[in-house]
Amino acid sequence: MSFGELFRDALYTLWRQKLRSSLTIGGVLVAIAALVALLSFAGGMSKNVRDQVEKFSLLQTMAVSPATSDSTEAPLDSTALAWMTTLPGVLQAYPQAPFPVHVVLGDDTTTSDAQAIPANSRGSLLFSQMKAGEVFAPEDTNHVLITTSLLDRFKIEDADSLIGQKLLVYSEHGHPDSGYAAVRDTFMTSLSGRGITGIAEMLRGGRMDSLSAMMFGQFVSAFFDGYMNRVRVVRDTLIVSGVVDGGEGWTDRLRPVVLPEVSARRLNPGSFTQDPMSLIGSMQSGEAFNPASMLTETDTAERVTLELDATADHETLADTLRAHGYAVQDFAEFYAEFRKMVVLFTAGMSLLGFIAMFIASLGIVNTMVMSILERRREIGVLKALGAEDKDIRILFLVESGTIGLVGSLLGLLVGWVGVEIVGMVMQEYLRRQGVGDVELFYIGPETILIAMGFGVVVATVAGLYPASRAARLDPVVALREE
Amino acid sequence: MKPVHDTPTKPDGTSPLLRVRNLVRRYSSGANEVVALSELTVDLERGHSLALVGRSGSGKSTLLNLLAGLDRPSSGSIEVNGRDLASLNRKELAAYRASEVGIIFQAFQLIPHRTALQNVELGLAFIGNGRSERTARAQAVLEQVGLGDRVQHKPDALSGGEKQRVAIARALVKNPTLLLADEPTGNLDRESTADIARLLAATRDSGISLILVTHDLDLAESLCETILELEYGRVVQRREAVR
Ligand SMILES: Nc1ncnc2c1ncn2[C@@H]1O[C@H](COP(=O)(O)OP(=O)(O)OP(=O)(O)O)[C@@H](O)[C@H]1O
Ligand SMILES: [Mg+2]
Repeated sequence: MSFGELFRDALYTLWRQKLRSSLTIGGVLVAIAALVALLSFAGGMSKNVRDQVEKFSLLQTMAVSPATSDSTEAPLDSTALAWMTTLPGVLQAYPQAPFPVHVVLGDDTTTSDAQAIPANSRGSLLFSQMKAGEVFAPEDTNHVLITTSLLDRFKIEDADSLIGQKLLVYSEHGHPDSGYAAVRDTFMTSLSGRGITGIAEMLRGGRMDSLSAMMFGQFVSAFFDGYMNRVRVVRDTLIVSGVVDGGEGWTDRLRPVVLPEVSARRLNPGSFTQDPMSLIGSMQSGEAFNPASMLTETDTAERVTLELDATADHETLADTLRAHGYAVQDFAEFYAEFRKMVVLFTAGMSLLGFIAMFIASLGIVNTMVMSILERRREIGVLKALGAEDKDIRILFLVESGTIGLVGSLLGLLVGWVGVEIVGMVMQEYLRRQGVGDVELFYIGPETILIAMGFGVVVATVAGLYPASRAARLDPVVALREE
Repeated sequence: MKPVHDTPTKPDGTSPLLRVRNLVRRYSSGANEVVALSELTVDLERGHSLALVGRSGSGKSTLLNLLAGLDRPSSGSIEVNGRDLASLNRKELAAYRASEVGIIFQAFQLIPHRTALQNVELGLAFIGNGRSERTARAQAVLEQVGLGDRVQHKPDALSGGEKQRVAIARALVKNPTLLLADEPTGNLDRESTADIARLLAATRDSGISLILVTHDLDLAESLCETILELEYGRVVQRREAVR
């Protein structure tokens, strides 16, 4: 008999025993559906990462940041950047020195991060994911690039609609003037609060020391309070020239607002504003009153994106950079690790599926043993008609394999529908949480192959023992039975 | 020049279809040993027919199973077409069953969930014919046995006589050289018995050798040239039928 006939017969046999078959097939269905769900989750994870890696050509880039919080040890300054571009395989080094800004678009205001556009970065991988418009020219000082994440912040869907729009960018930062004003106010209030008599008393009691100490303390704290009040505002109105996908999370490489260098210099309040002690230092050197002078974007880059050529030796490059005290995020390395993890994860998930399938296979063994017990005479007849042991074995193996096939097909269907539903619900939930579209589950061809192959193979293996029992049946004994 | 054989050859030079020599089949269940067949020797010429009669338990079915290649003897030999069944391995024995022997049972042994046609087709399932050829031949044989209009019926929907006709069709569809029938009319009434007798006679006349196990002496006499009576696994009487 041909395989097709055996298969048709097997389907018919299962059809004759509807209840028993559906229970057994149900076991396989659950196992395969679970396997599909687990694998598609792993698949979704891996696809998301793969898509990101491909989208941003991450395998051709490397992210460098200071290894320790003490950035003086290995500063990402212009010297360091220049050195990095001389390393073999490095095409360009793009700094990212973010600073906080407020952004006004129409009636909406939001707080975000800005950075200067790195020199020579036009046409680089940084801007490989333009969504609308284009990168402004280096000499162009009144345009701005924004990323899709800023778009999300403003809840704007259509990137094109933004091109040519006006974007007001401003930053607030402390200024010595506001500090002096605060000192003056505090001092006067303090004196008037105590009254002339209080001061006279202090003077009379010879307590000049305590007075001056008190006054100095008040002076200092008032100065910093006032300084940190950020009364000084720098603003720039720029025209949106383009919208770019700058990545998010680990793929992040562009801040939401990418400014011409001139604007960045004006708007960046400088890192010292966060640290009063460095302010004192800069006041002494006179820089505090000319903050822009120290604001080249490379000075305090938090992160540098290296663009590599195809032949770059990632390992050597990363080693070199690490030896110089930098932390290196090599996406190729990361991706290789990630893929290893996905394989392990998939294996782990498959193990769970295997356990479920093992339980299902006990049901298959039971069903097959029952089926064979009921059909002993039939087996005897087939042997009397010339069936070899092999024929009988194949007959029942095809039958158990068919249970696996039908169960896997249904399991695949149920798993797919289930994953779609869960995916939709999760998607909606994430959207409400403000997270963009993420494909949580992905059923690729390999998932289908693995699930189907697994179901059919395990079911067939489960049929091995019953089938060989059937094949060994003595036809004389079987035919004598009533 | 004719080859010299130590076996008796017929004048035309052909050896008998079946040569059974000193056949022994013992069953041992625990300490007890049952000798179902004991030193049985018999020949059957091509195209001839033989009836086996005897009391219940005399070893008739045992002999038939051995001849069918469903069982192996404890000792002795069975030669079919000059070939010793003992020399065949399981696979070859299956092929022998598939192509050379047709078997009919008292209990019909049809497969209940298959139609008459499918049951008959099974008779060709292990020889290697294509599906359409199997169907065509099965259909033709069913028409021969007078069941051309019942091919799509399942055994449950057929009478005892019709079931046995289906079983005969299944045995004949492969065109066997040897037809073994184990009490084929044991479960049938007189009329059906007559139908089956006619069919078996036609089969015998078409040149297929027949071995018939039966309790019905009339049937044995009407169908077979030779009648062997067995007792305790031995031939106790051999006579030629009066025709
Ligand atoms: N599997 C077996 N194990 C033990 N003894 C057996 C077995 N099969 C048959 N026998 C014994 O062998 C002897 C011959 O049995 P067999 O079935 O050949 O008789 P029979 O002539 O066909 O009888 P009946 O007319 O009742 O069918 C009997 O005594 C029987 O009990
Ligand atoms: Mg018997």
